[in-house]
Amino acid sequence: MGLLTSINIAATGMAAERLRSDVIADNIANSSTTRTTEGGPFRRSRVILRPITQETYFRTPFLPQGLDNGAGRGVRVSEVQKDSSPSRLVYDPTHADAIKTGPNAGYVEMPNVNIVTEMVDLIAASRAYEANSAMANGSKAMFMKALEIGR
Amino acid sequence: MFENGSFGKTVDLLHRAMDVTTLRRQVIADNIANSGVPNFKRSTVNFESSLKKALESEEVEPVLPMATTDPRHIGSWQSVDWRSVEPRRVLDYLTTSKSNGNNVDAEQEMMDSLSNQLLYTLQSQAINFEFNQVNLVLR
Repeated sequence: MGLLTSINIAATGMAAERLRSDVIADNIANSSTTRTTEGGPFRRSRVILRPITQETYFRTPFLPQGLDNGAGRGVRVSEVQKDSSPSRLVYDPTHADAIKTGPNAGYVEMPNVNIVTEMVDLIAASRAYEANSAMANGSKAMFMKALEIGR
Repeated sequence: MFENGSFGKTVDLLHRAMDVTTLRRQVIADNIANSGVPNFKRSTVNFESSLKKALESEEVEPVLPMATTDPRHIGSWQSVDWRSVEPRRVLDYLTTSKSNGNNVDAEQEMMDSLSNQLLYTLQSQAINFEFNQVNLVLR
C-alpha cells in the first residue's frame, strides 16, 4: 500500500479504456472494409479485460490472511479478440468482392460491425475513462493535502 | 515524551486512519478500474467498527468478571489493544447487479471515493492541528 498506488490503479484503468476506444475507432473506420490481408471481410475486434490479480480469491475460516493475495492492483487487457459472428450480406453483384458462385452469388460479405453497438461501447469506454481520471485527480488533491502536514 | 499522552495517541490514531483511508482509496480505484470486467466482484474495507470496538473495550468493565487466580486461566473479558486492529478487506461476492456478473456500481464508487477524499483531507487537517498546537508551545 503506497501513496501512489491508487493513481497507478487509475492509470491501468485509463490505459485499458483508451485501448478499448482505439479498437472501437478501428472497428468504425473499417465498417465497410470488404477486403483484408487474411482474406474475407473485416471482422470486428473486441477487447477482453481482466483484473491484474489473477489468483483466485480463496475464502477459508481457518486461514483468514494466509491465502489473501492483497488488494487489487487494477485492470489489464487480456486479449484483443476477433468477433466470429457471421458477416452481413449485401446484394451488390457489380461489386468487385461479390460472391461469384453458389447460393449466395451476387452478395457481398460486409464486416460484422454494427455502428450502434460500437457507439454505445464507445460511450461506455469514454465514461469509464472519465471515472478513472476523476479517481486520479481526487488522489492527487488528497496527497497534496498530505504534503501540507506540518507546514 | 509524547508516546503515552493524548498527543501521541491522537497522532497515532490519525496516522492509522490515514493509512486505512489510503488503502480504501486503492480498493475503490481497483473497483472503478475493473467496472467493466465480467464476473469481477467489488471489495470494501472494514476498519472503523473494529477500531471503535477496541477503543470501547479498554474503558468498559465487564458486568460479571470471572476471577483468574492462575496466570494460565483465561478470563471472560479481554480488552483489545486498539494498536492491533488491522483493516480488513471484504469481497462482496454474493451480490450481482449487472448481467455480466459484475457488481460494481459506478455511482456508489464515485460517492465512496469522494467521501474518502474528504475524510483524508479532514484527517490531514486534524493531524496538522495537533502539530500546530505543539508548535505553539515550542515557539
